[in-house]
Amino acid sequence: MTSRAAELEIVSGLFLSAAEQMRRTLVRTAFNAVIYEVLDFGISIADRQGRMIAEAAGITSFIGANDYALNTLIRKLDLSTLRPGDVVMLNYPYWNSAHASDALLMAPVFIDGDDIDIFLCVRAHWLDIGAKDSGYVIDSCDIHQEGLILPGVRVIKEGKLDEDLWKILEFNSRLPEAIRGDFGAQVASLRTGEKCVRDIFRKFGKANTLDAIEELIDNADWETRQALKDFPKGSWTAEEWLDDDGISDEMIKMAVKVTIGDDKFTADFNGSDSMVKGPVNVPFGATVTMTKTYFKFLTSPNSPSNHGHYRALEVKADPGKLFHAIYPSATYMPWTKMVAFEMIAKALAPVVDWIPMSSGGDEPGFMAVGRHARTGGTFVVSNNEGIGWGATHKHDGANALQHPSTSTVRNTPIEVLERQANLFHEELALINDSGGTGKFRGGLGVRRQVRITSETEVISMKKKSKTGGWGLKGGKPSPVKNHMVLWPGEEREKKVGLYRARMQAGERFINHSAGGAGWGDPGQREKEAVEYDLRNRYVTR
Amino acid sequence: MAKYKFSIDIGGTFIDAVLFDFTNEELVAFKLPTTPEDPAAGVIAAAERLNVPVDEIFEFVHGTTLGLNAILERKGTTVGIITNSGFEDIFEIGRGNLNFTDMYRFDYEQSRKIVERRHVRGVGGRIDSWGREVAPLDVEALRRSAAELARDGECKALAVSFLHSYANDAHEVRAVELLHREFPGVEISSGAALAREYREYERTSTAVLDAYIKPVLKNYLGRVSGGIESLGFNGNKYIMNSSGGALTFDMGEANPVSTVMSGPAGGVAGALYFAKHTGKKNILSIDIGGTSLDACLIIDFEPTDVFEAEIDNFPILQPIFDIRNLGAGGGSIARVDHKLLRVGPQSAGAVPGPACYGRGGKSATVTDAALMLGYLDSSDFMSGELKIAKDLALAALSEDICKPLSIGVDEAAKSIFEVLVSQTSSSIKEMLLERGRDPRDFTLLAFGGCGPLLGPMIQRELEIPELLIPPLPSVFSAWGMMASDLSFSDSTSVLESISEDSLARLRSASENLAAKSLAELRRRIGADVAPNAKFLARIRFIGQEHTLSVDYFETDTHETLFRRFSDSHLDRFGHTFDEPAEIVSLSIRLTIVTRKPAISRDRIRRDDGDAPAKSEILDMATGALAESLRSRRSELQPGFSAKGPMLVKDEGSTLVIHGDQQISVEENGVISVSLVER
Repeated sequence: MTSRAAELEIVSGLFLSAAEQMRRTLVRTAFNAVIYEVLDFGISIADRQGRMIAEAAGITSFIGANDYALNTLIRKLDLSTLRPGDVVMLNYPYWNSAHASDALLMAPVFIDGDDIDIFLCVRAHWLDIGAKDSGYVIDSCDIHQEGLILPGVRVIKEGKLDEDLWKILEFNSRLPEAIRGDFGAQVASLRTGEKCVRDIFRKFGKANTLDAIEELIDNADWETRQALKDFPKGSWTAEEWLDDDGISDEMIKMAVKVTIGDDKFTADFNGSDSMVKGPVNVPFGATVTMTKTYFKFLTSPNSPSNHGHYRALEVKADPGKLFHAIYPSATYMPWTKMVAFEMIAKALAPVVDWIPMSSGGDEPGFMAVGRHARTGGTFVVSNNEGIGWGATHKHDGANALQHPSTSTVRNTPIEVLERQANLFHEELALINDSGGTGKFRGGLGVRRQVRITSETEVISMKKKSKTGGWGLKGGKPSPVKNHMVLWPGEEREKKVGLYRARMQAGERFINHSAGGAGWGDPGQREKEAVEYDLRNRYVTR
Repeated sequence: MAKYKFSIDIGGTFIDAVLFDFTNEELVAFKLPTTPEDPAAGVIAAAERLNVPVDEIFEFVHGTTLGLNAILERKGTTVGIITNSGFEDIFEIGRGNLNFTDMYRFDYEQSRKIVERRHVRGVGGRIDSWGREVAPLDVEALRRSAAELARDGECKALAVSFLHSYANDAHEVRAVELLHREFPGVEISSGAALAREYREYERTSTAVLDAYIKPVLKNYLGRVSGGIESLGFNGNKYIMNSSGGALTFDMGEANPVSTVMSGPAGGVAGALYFAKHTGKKNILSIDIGGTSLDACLIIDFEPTDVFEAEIDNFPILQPIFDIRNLGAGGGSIARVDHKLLRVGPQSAGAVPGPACYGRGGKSATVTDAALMLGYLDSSDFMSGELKIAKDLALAALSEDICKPLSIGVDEAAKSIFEVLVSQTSSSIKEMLLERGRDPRDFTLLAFGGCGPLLGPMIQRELEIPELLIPPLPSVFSAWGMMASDLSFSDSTSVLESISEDSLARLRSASENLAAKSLAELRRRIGADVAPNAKFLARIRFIGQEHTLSVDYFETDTHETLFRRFSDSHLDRFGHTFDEPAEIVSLSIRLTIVTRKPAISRDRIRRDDGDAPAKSEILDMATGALAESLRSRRSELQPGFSAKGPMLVKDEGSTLVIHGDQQISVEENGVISVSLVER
């Protein structure tokens, strides 16, 4: 006989592998590079109550990203009308947990009989679903400028594609072939998952498998509560500022109140501003996901997640607030989530010594769009720039990494950017002295100088260019803020955050990313570290 | 007289040595402990132990993890980088991502860089993305920079890597020539010479790692050469590269980064030889040792290469077999984590080793569990070369597993195997799915010290119809090295879309490349060889970042080449496009076929222990203890067939067959295991 401890470990491993097999199927067969390179997707398996059993996140902050959407679908749909082989599609931001380009496909699994036992979900970023602009939308004022909406409808009925519906989708996309390909990859991923899940139920029996799921969720809950025991109890708050909403110039206040009780961790975002006109509002599902991701670092960074890991977590934001967008507010730009990401850290760092100081705090990248001077074709390229990470009470912050909420994404090589777009680099370098000082210093940011070789539209994408970071115990924030300088050295030189500029051959821009903040008194920094920094010019003075 | 071929594979614990006698068609194998303080000494000791005249060995093939370990343990040399001015931080910035295992570590600690920032110099000069010179190379700056870096012996090796050198390597070639000429004591590596692929960080990283291990490998191979030559050896000396080819020692010294995975590559080279000789076109090879399991796929007689190779988070643009290292081996540690039983990836390794070794290891491991279930024989383990104690295994299992879970020792031991086999099989399934494959379309080939123990269990879990256990499974990687051919690769950039016009230019490029590489190979070997040539073109759809390597034949038209690329895209990614594609580079692989041993049982000199007996083992098919036959492998004749449960011992491993499996011994001595209905 097999011990229950082994059986639980095996069942847990098999569900995780099922999610992983879904991920590999999606990555292998997806058409668009945003899925297979940037890994802009989320995959999960949940039980009949919508409780997540296993997941395979692409982007770091997509953890649990499908849970909110699935639970809305369970509430909104008449489940008794679902049949084996059905696939439901949802991209309505307020029910989902992302902008309209993220298409969530859900498939119910009927192990035996007429009841749903398992839900499989795959969300992925589609290249074009009919928003007002191709590529990225940065100035929409309501949802209907952001793409065709599918509010949880069956696109596949009992295994058969609804051709009428599909025609609507295709005719509303600028890239019908790409969405057909990515849709196909998502469906293949769901079918892979279904096969794996059936194998697990067959192998362990239905009742036994369901019992195991229950025990695994309880075990994860226990793990989280164990971790929470080490946290102080009480309430702490933090604020952060978003540059603007892309329509007006006004800064937007974001705030969180973190309350830790004996067996509860509450993040309340109601101190933030109300919804704004531009596309920086956050669907509540996305707020939950963002919070889960930082909570995961705090409580169980090394183990794969299930529902139980988040049972102790409560997220609050009232409808109509920045962090609980409602119809018809615009939600296209996910930058708010990034700038707000470390607010929980900011609230807790004064009382939890191992929490790192602020990173550069943004994903300060850029896009370039235009007609290729050599091939004549249109191009869209983008680069996610690294930022400095914050120091901890034990070590320096890392140099030039992606924002923590997108930690697995990579920057785009110079050789790729120059080959595919009208760009010519003149410099790519760490910014000396950009790490906030401290006993342990912050990581360094990046400077990139580019010359345009033929007419190109450049989109600078930053939402934290007006405010800096924070350090503790004498540690200082980075002296550099995220920003782009257009036409440097010319009379029209302009410093921007989020901005779209049409540039001509010979014109230049310089992109700057912020460093991380330091921890502790800089006077206490070890001599060896000071000398190493000076010798290698991370620090020049 | 050219009688013998000799190969040595150095792993973590043992030096595996294999000698084949072509006259008597006899294979001899033995193991010696490694000599970590002086790795070359162990190789020389193994050569000294041979009972044959060393001057009759015509070929020596070697695989070593030395270069890999130098990288992992940061024991390489001090490297300087020479690149374009303004781009000195390319290596330091990298791609900015964390590994999936660290993705939630927002307190991530970045280790210090392998090249100090002060050891990087930028020099004037720039090539653009179409290979055109924008600014000439500043030769004076180059000279000055190299002099600064090499001053007082500070940097012993330099990595040269310029932007867009994959498209036009003129600046890099010129820089390397000058540095070789003017700084003869400094090792030089060039990104474009190692990899004609785009992506500047990856190419720079490849050059840096090459430079980093160059002095280490050079010194080591020099010592090995000197040592075996002083014993009278005067044959060919080869070192394995990471994709199953053999390089002369000179070639290996010149291009050490190509040898980083030379050890595990031997097993795959052997598996490929096996595939070709047995006609099994799809093989899943699993090499299971003390600490981990290396899995690799052979599909349609072609081993798969890794898509983006990495060593310790450093990308390497080199052909490397796609070998997945899974944390499953004899030393994998079992532990109770609240309500769950976890196994691996932590391993007790060789030191302190499993509890039963009595070398100070206290944790319960897979080997301890195997001993309790009767799979291993405490009275005669590793042909008696290693003493193991059942009471120590029992104590460890009781303390670590039985007590916290309140279960018996048999249940604990069985559970350890079940967890290990389930998670390993899942990882293998995931790896197959990346290529859209089903495990049941493969033949499983298991080797390594723990391959015969775990292979049959993995076969059951994955429902693979046939499992093969080669002769001498515990030294199969060393044996596989004998099956490798001398291989030399070279490449040139092309950068043209596939069209009728460009195919004509591709043909003349291939002719030039063939002539140039043949001359270079002849120069390096110092003989007028006539190798086989094979071309590979790296092609992608315009706009894609990554390329696929496909065969190119001089008879190709633009249609046949496009079709081959498109089919390969469909096979690899499940879809393809009817869009223009571009050829990025063309490479040639020259091979000189070596003489190889046949696969045969009769030719193995044996010493594998006691006579057949009965013993009791836990049969996974029923989950109960069962009386089983224990045989020596040497006594099983071709044609022998039996149903499990049974044990088959050889000198370095034990094959464990369960009640729902059947073995048959083939003509060549290979054991085939199949699944049967009970």
